[in-house]
Amino acid sequence: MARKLKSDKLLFLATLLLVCASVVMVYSASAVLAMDRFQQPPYFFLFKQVTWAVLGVCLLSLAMRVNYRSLKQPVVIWTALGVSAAALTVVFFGPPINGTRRWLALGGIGVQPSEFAKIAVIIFTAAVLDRRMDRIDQMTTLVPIAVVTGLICGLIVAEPDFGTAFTVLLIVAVMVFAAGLHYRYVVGLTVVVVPLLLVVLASADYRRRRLLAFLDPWADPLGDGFQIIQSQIAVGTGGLFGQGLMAGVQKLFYLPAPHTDFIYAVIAEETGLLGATAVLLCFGVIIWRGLHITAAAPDRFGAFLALGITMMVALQAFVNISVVLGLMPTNGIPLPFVSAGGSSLLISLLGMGILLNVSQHASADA
Amino acid sequence: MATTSSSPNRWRDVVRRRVAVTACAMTLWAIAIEARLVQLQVFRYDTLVERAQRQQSHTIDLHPKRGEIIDRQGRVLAYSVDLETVVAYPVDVDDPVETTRRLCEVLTCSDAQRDLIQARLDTDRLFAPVQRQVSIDTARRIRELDLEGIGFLKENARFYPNRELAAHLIGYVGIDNQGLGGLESSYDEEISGRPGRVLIQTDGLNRAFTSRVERPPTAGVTLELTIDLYIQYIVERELRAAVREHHAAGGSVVVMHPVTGEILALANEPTFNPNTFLLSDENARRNRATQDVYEPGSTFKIVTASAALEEGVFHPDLAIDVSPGVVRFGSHRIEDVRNYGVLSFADVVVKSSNVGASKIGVELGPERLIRYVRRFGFGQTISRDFPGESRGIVHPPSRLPDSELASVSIGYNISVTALQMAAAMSVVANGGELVEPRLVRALLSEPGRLEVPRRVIRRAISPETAATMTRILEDVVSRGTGRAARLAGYTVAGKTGTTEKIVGGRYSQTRHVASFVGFAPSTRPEVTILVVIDDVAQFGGSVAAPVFQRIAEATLRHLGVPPNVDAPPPILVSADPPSALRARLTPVHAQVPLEPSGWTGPQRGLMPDLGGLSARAAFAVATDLGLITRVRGDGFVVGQTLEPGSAITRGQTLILRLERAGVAGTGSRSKS
Repeated sequence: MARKLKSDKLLFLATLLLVCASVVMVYSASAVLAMDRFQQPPYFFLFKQVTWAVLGVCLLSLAMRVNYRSLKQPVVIWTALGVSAAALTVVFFGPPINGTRRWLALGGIGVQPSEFAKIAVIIFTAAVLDRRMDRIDQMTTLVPIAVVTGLICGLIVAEPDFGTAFTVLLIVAVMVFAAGLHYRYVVGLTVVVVPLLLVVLASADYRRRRLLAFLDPWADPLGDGFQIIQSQIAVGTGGLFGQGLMAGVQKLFYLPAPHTDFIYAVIAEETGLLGATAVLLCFGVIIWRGLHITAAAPDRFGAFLALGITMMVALQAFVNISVVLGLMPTNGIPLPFVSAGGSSLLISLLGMGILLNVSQHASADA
Repeated sequence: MATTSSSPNRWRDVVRRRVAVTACAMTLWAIAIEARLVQLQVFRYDTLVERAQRQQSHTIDLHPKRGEIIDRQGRVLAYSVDLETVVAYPVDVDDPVETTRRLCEVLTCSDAQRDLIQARLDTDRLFAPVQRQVSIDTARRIRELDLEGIGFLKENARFYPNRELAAHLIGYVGIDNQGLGGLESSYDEEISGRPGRVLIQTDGLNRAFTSRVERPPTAGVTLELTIDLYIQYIVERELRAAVREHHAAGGSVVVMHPVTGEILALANEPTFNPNTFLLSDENARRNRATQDVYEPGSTFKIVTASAALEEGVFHPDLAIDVSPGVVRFGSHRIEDVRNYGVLSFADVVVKSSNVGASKIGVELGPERLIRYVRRFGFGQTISRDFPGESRGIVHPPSRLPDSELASVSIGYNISVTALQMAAAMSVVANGGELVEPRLVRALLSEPGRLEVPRRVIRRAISPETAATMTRILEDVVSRGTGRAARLAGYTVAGKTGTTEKIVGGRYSQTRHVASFVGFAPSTRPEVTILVVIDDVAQFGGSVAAPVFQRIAEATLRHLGVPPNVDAPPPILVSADPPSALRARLTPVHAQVPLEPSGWTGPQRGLMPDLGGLSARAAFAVATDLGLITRVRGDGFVVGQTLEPGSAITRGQTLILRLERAGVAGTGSRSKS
């Protein structure tokens, strides 16, 4: 197409704001940690995050220029799924890091295959729904989706990374729901899947303890309940306007992972209700624009792709924030765009690129 | 649910409806998140901030150095030495066993100690003490081991360089430097200073990352006492000698300035060493002079007599019939040593007639007598500087029929402290005012020196009465019961006292409290001295008065009080024949040979050797040579600033150093 396409500026702006916030907050949260625990200069995580952010924004602008419809080709879908499954399998035989096998060492850089798998599953599901939306309530539609999702989720759970697997499951569920699955099946599937999830949840000791700690953190305030309590203290001490950037104390070894999973607690402590709400608003804008793009997409593939990507960001963000605020049990989901970590940032920005591409077509074709 | 697939808007409607449902769900979730944020950051803000501070902030007290206690000349009586306490931060100790082993190499600990230290290191606690109060040197050796997780805290420990000297006054402290007795206790707040506070913030691993001095420590003040260490030393030595000589149970001496109220010395027997107070018994730690009471006996007649004169009931020349040496008041029988016949009012005091004094007291009546008893400071605490000061026992007038009143008049049936008695005598000495006895002369601190002012509690009697009483009390020493207290060169006013101790509910004929209280020079008093010797067989005049005399002589000389009467020329007093004197004056280690023959007194222009002479003799020789002489110490000359044989000129200053020990052979002569 020759003419210049309009992309969603608000979506882009919200994303960029979050990435900028990330750079600042990762530095604040990790400066002491880098020196003390990793014997690195205080800028260690800052440099890494800035590098990933720059790469991520490049990836975003690249994805923006690739027509999303090319993702519909079976070659692309099956390659993505194949690579995801293979990487998830390889990672299972690799050495564990922090007791889990979530990272794949590629040239000295830790890559999280589960992040890539999310996008692969979303594209696959979108493609299936594109073709079979009219027969959504049939087994021929649901079974392939269930098999692929189940396989990928199973591999992710085995890492173990229950949180990510749960997120993938939820993304797919929302996509299938949006495709018009009859409410009878929605209820039926819920009845089947929820007990199954509870069994998986209770199958590992660490997940059981996290659940109990979530239900009553004060039962063991210095043990299992420690993270939850420290996180709430961090958020609470922020008050309305926060302690000031860099001035937080809870990131100094009170919070378990201040620059990754609990970065929202650091934001809340240092910038207060104001900053915490601003970050929430940014995600709100992304969800709003994402759902708007879904509704305005020129075709079904674009709609489901947009919805999947929006939900990928939205669910991760809300789950992460809910954990920080003690509304959900701890599960190790990072805050998209904000938490330190390359894989999550790259995939999230890649997703935004695809979403923006869909938005261009939506505005063009509307 | 298969429908036609080609309708372009059919799928869009479905998706839009479902997306709307999804949007609603996400909105609800977002609202829940925002509500939770508000709950935590607004409503639970205070609680969570408080919790955060509890885990993040800790305050540490910084203990200031305890102030010193010095005597009136600035000589140190109590000071604090820096010590260090070895502490551990067990979380940082990697190998408790090895760390303990290396610590114990330096500390040389017992097996029990070793186990204790190891147990303390092998915990997750933030802080544990290892060894309290080790010397700076030991701390340095431990520091050189460079052990992980071992630290040091500065502490200070109290040290009393003069051991027993003035122990009852200074008091002592516990291991945490809290004052437990004496001035250490009554001035604890001032001496300790105010601890500073440091606020530290700790991270999640309990490590401090910032500290802020909230309040710097304020150093404790230094107490400058009214005590003169030299006089205190003399007093303690003489008291100890008297108690030993008479096999007494104990005794007290109070030396105070009658006008200013400054206590120059105060001593008790038995005493203790405050450095190791835990080893002494409680009896020895008690400040008897202020905490114990005794019946003052005849010394109390100064109060009875003063009251009678002040009230105009008697005048000094009024004759009082004290025959036949015994009088009855109800069931009470009061006796004199012998039948004095008729005595003047003054002689009742001079001869210490119990019959006369009790008649005076009864004549006065209970109201008037007790009024004066109280005016003189009895039955009340009179000083702020002595913790646990007793008020004594004074019965109210309503409970004093003649028989009891007669007893009070002669110092029975009333209990007083030695300090009260000394203050009462000072009333007579200073012209009628009850002055608060003081131990602290000034508080020295950073801003400067704060003098403690003289404080007059009240006027007890008129100056005229005080003058009359002084004349009567001079007679007591010059021709009455207190002759043993006479001093060469000074007039002395004083009063003896002998009280029968109550043994098994009855007054004992053989066990006494012997006391003497007096002041000198009586015309312009510089010291009031009270001597109380507890539980002796003899009388006050023979036990306590000589102690008074020796202390007064040394004190007046030390204070440089000029004699107020012509002292008998000292050399004439000496029993030495001239030849012995000459031999003594011959320089023993003369650098320049002196011509010894033809001695006609000290040779003009050349300094003789005064070694071995008594103070009085040496003083006389030096004065004759025209030298201005100062004396340090007491006893006999052991050193002089002007070398024997050196050329001297009139008006030069000679300082003589005297010592008592080591010149035993001449000891008896000086007392003659």
